[in-house]
Amino acid sequence: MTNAQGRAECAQRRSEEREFLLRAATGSGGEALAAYKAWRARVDLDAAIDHETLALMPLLYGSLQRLGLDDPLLGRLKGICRRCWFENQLLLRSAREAVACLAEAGVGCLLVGDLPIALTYYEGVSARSIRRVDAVVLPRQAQLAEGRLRAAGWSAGSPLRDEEVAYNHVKRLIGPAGQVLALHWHFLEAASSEAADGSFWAAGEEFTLDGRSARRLSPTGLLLHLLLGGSHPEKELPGLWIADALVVIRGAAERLDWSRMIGFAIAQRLAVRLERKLQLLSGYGAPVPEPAVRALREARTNLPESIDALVLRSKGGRQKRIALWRCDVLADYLRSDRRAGLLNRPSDFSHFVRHRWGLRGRRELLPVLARHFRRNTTPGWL
Amino acid sequence: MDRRFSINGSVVASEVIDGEAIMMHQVSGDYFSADGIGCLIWQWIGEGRGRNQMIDLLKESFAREPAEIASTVDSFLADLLSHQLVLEVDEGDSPPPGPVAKTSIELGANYAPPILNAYSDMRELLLLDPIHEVEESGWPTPKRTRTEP
Repeated sequence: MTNAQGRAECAQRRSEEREFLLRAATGSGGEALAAYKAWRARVDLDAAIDHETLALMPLLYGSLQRLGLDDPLLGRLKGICRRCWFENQLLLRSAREAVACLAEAGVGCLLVGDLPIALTYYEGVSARSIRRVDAVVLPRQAQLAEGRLRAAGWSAGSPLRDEEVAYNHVKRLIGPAGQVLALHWHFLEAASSEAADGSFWAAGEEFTLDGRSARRLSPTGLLLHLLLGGSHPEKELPGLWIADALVVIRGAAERLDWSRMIGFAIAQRLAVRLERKLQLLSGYGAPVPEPAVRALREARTNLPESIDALVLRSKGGRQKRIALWRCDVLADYLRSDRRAGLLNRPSDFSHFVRHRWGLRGRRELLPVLARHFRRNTTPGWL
Repeated sequence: MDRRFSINGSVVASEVIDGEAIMMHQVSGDYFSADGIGCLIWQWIGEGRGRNQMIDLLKESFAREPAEIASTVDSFLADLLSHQLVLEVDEGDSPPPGPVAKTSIELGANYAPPILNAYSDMRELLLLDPIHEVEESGWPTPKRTRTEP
């Protein structure tokens, strides 16, 4: 067996394991039980467990409890719930302090990601791991927000520069106890534009965070952000986003405005991505309305979405000589508010890519592309 | 007069997971747990029940010496107070509790005295791998190192 074939088999095995785990954690009755047995038969619990799998364990515990299953693993799963609860409590406290710090500086923020999902849609703080705090502020307030958080003890390397605000969408800050706060100034990496942001700001609503008033997205906004805010659907194994989306759809079915979601995706040229995510969700039993998927499929294609479709197809094939998944940065650029003139566009795009890929400078672009091309032109690449 | 308590909500977070109460004191950062009757008492405190009422409920459910039940409950309440997880309140400060759900006192025939488990070295416990480095009962109980006889 070649190295490439070995990698491919390993990827296939991990993908199957994750799928069974997700079905066991989010399904019900016989289907969940069968998936759990299949997962247990495949998974090597003596080996290292990746973070995403670990984050699904509290959900699995809840599912096994509902099934009334007696398994020697239950004790350790319950232990993961206890730990998840404890770590979440630490993070919630940090989140409350961060929100208060921003409010004192006159910076309005909206919480997205793990935190509002865990607090709103799951049963108890122990049921869903909150890996970090995600707070969105207006682009014009991003530097003020970062400065205030830095003064409050969050560290972020060098201060946020104008160029980062212009080309990037998020900065990661680390708290005194190692907590992570992602400070966003756009809601979506894939569409960092005023129009896209405006729709999300309009979908904000109040909620209580550890005794303090804060803002989160409405169910429709939250589901949309969940589906379009993560990474490209083909870039990683199915994970927590599927469990989250199922919980939101089941918990807020009557408040979900599917036509608004579809309208947003078409207007922001994200129909291909949303359609793919909804297809994946349907495979896990989510009641996704067929007309919604059809409307996305029939949406007029344009350059960013053609690129998205190409990336999807490139990953779906058995053997591809050129890996295209990094091309989606071009689609993201086209969907952003960057308005460089024709002559300046190559330079502007290179800045955009350098920031999106987290490179120190544009000089790193060519070596990175060369490495990527070399790694992914072997016949066995999956 | 019945002694009444309330959960120290301004600094204590808690949740009940499958018959086990877990608590965190947000100032000290310490972690606590109590299962069985300890969990029940924690929930009863949350419902505003007084010490005598809790003891009466346990006496009705278990064939044990009333003095033994009273002494173990008092000891548990003293532990909760000493760790500032609960506060003693005046009788008039909290509304009278409603009836006790029948299912909440179905704990089996054996009376196991309530115990408050306290963990203060959280930095070390958080470093434990919750799958490979814990006992079957799970985190935060570290795996005992096996020694040759």
